[in-house]
Amino acid sequence: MNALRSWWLAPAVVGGLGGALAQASTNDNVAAGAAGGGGLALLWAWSLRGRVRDLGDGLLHGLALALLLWLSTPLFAAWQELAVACSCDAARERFPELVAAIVCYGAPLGLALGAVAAPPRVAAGAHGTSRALVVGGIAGFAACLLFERVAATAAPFGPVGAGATLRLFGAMAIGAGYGLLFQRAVRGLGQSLGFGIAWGMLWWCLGPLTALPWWRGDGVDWSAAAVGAQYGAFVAHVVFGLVLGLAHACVDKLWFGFFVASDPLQRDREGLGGRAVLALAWGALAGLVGGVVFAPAMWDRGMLPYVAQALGGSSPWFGLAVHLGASVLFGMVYGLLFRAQVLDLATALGSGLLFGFVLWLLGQLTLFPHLLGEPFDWSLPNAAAALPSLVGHLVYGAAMAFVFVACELRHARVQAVDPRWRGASRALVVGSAAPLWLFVLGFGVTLPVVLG
Amino acid sequence: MNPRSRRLCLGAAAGLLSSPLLALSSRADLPAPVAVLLAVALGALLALLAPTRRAIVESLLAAAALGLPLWALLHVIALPLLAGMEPRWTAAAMREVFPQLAGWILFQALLGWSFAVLEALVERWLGPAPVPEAPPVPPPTRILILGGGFAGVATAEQLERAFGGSAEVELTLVSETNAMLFTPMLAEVAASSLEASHITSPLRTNLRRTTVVRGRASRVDLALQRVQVEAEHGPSWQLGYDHVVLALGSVSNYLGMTGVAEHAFDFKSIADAVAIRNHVIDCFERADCEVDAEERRRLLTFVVAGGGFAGAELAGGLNDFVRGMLPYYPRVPRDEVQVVLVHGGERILMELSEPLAAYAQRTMAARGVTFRLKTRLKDATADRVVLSDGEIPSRTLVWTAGTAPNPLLKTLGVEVDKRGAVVTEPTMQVGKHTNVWVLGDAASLPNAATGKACPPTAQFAIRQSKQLARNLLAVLHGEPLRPFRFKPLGALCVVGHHTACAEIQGLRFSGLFAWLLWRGIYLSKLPSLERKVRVVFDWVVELFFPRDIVQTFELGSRRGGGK
Ligand SMILES: Cc1cc2nc3c(=O)[nH]c(=O)nc-3n(C[C@H](O)[C@H](O)[C@H](O)COP(=O)(O)OP(=O)(O)OC[C@H]3O[C@@H](n4cnc5c(N)ncnc54)[C@H](O)[C@@H]3O)c2cc1C
Repeated sequence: MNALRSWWLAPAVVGGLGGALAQASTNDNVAAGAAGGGGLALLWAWSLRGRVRDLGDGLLHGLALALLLWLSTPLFAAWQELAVACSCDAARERFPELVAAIVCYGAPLGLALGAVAAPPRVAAGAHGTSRALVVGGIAGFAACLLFERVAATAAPFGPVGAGATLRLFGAMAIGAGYGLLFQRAVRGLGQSLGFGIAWGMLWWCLGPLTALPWWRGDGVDWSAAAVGAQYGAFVAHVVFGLVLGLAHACVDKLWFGFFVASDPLQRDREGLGGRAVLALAWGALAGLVGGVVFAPAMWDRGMLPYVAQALGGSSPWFGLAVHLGASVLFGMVYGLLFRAQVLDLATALGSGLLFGFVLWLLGQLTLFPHLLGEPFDWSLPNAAAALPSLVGHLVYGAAMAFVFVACELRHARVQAVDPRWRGASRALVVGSAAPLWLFVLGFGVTLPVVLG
Repeated sequence: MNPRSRRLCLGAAAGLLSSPLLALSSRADLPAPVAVLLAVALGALLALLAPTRRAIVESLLAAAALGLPLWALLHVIALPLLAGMEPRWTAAAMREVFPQLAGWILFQALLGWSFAVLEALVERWLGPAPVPEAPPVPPPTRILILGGGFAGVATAEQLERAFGGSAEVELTLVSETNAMLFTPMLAEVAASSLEASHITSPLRTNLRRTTVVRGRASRVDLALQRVQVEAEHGPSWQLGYDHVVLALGSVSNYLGMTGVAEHAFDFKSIADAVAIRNHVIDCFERADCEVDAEERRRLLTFVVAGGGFAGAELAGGLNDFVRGMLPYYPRVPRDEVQVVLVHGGERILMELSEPLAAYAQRTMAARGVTFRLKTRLKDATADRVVLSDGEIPSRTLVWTAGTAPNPLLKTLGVEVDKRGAVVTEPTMQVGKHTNVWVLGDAASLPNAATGKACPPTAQFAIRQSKQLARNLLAVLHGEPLRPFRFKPLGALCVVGHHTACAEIQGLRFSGLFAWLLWRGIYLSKLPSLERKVRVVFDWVVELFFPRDIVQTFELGSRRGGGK
């Protein structure tokens, strides 16, 4: 029993099996897959010894490894073929390997890593399995309801072909799973939003790409062409995931706030309201700067009159005003979501890029067409056509996050000489931030480029 | 080699080690030597930015995550722009630079990995790098602020803002009370429309890095640079300072009338306002069962001395309060209730223009306030107010007719004006004592914008605090000081329900609009969001329910529970 809980056995076995399965589903070199998968899993588990804290954390490390593994496959090609092996066309060809790496290898290995992890001790009341299930279920329910209202056509569980009730139950199960896996890791709204996106991406690979075709008896096809046809479902899963993550964090925070943090003995020194006001003010400033940085590209590409149209105008100057107003507003949202989680340049950059990516999905691909009175279109060609805007949104997010972190760091310097903070440590978000950014952004940006 | 240089070298070495991957993947865009240089520079940057030694996988993943933005910045945006082309952000163009994307993520992963491995190896072989001894830190400059009113608290806040997280100063504030009183809303507390604690903001939660000491400064020794502080129930002690800011405000001045000093209520502190409110309710309770008509009249007559802002606002507020209370005391005759405002001048509200003051007087009179103008207060007893032209039988007298700067100022041995305020330079320093600063009601300070002395108002106290903080910062950093200069924005006065006068930048408003303006402006000035929320709630509750006529316990009494 003890061996089962040791750091190496479960990951090695799961890695070996996963490697074999991945190879079986793509290349048929099962023995090499088992040996390579097991070996790499051992190496990864050894490097992460004592670092992975829980299931969610482990899953993200597994998913990040899967992406890195897929990206590095061309390096094993012969020298003369290297240029070809690295090209985008080759990546398209190798696309099934990416899905296999995620579904068969990264995800199970990550869960195994998480299962053998020793979770750190936390304050009483901070976590709880029943709370995780209930809150996750509620979040899944809420996300599904909202989703079906807004985007019934591209609903993530639509292909099941079952009635709304079953879809709702599916969503609640996915939500409860999210609660179980990520409750311990979530420290804030923004971070939960990121986890939710990763969770949604994984479910896209598991559901529309794998389980559903298999269920329908169509055969599992992970080729770039088949996967490209499911890009709408990808966006749907990401949006569902981010709503789920956000809803979960909101409900959980409410729960935690009401039952734990409201206790005067545990209360925030500045008061939740005070922190929120600060975050809003910094977010507004940061959003404005981000908007200004993004504006020249919008002007250059003649986007501003379109932006103006969203509010019934036509002049580029009006468009600029709308754009800057929206930038400030989104900056404030960013501030609320990511306050107290942005602590240095790296976390700022990661969160800013993630937020830019989310804005692109929700703003450019969804809300903006809606405001123009057009139906929104999450298909691959449309997403590929909007790639310039993705780059712009990423730049906006990064610039905004830099300004925000500058405010946060200034505040932290004042806290350092504030006697009220003596003896109090600031909650640090460590561990899963890097694999999360890597997987979500790497996968999110790679897809439209490779498939488009 | 110190830890920083060691990490920098290791970062550069890791960059060099990983550079082939970058050179290879970016060879279409970057010549190999440039790629190698870039890799080395990025390695050094990584070492600089990563705050502490990371575990190998953490370092690998964190660096790899940065690969995507670096790729986007360089290959999608910067290089095409430098070559005079459109950014490569269309789907087709991005596909061309896809190998570079994979290359960057892998290069960064290798860089993060090799940096962490090199660091671990070097630490194993050579041991941890010796940490150089930190240079001795000069002791912080001690800035001591006396007084926790508008001027003192605003100065502390401004200094906190100016010095941020800098450890060069140490801020201490000594105040008799542990909260700052927002005096413009004091009349509303006396008139029971606001909860007393809602217009005071606690110093310890609002100030961030300032040490708050509750106590009374009893002696300031300018030569030895120290202040004697008396605790309410404890021993006295000395506080040393390098700079002292005197923001001690003013006290009531009864102009030598001992009877008034003995029998009148003050109207300066929160305790005064609560005492007035309780006393007024008590008068009604007593009048309710009083059989002697003379005594009942005395109980129901409320005299306010002084027709300035404080007096007019209090008279207006009290008038609304007592007349609003009448229905709940059915045995109290309506016509016996009187609110009298006694004022020596020809008209009230000399700070406002004549038409506005006339409007205020007219509307107050219409709502039931009686005016005794061109009349001076001579004396007072427990049941009588003696005026220059007669007497008013009354058990309530509130004094707002005179203030004088804090008497402690006269003991400093520096020049004071005829009111007793410290005469300061335009920079707010006191003569040759360049480390002594005075502001607010305690200062006699010329306004460089008008050439006149600043009036004792909160509006000026707050502006002065901003300039004082800037000047103090300038002194510490050897920069030139600036004189205080401020164009007053205007004046606002509320004299009853939906009735106010406002004079802002020469524009005059009255009535409901001025009343809304008053509430909006003062609400925005009330410190802290939390207090604002509480006050708004009080106002909303007051709209729908009768004013609170619960008698609260006597202040200072431990047992409480009413009388
Ligand atoms: C009823 C009323 C209404 C007003 N309305 C307005 C208005 O609407 N607009 C406006 O601009 N102005 C108004 N004012 C004037 C304004 O309140 C004063 O000008 C302002 O408070 C002056 O600020 P200050 O800090 O100099 O003095 P204060 O606010 O009086 O503060 C002095 C502080 O020093 C403390 N203190 C005193 N002695 C000692 C000691 N020995 N040791 C330690 N601490 C000590 C006191 O406790 C107090 O906290 C009003 C005043 C009153 C009384």
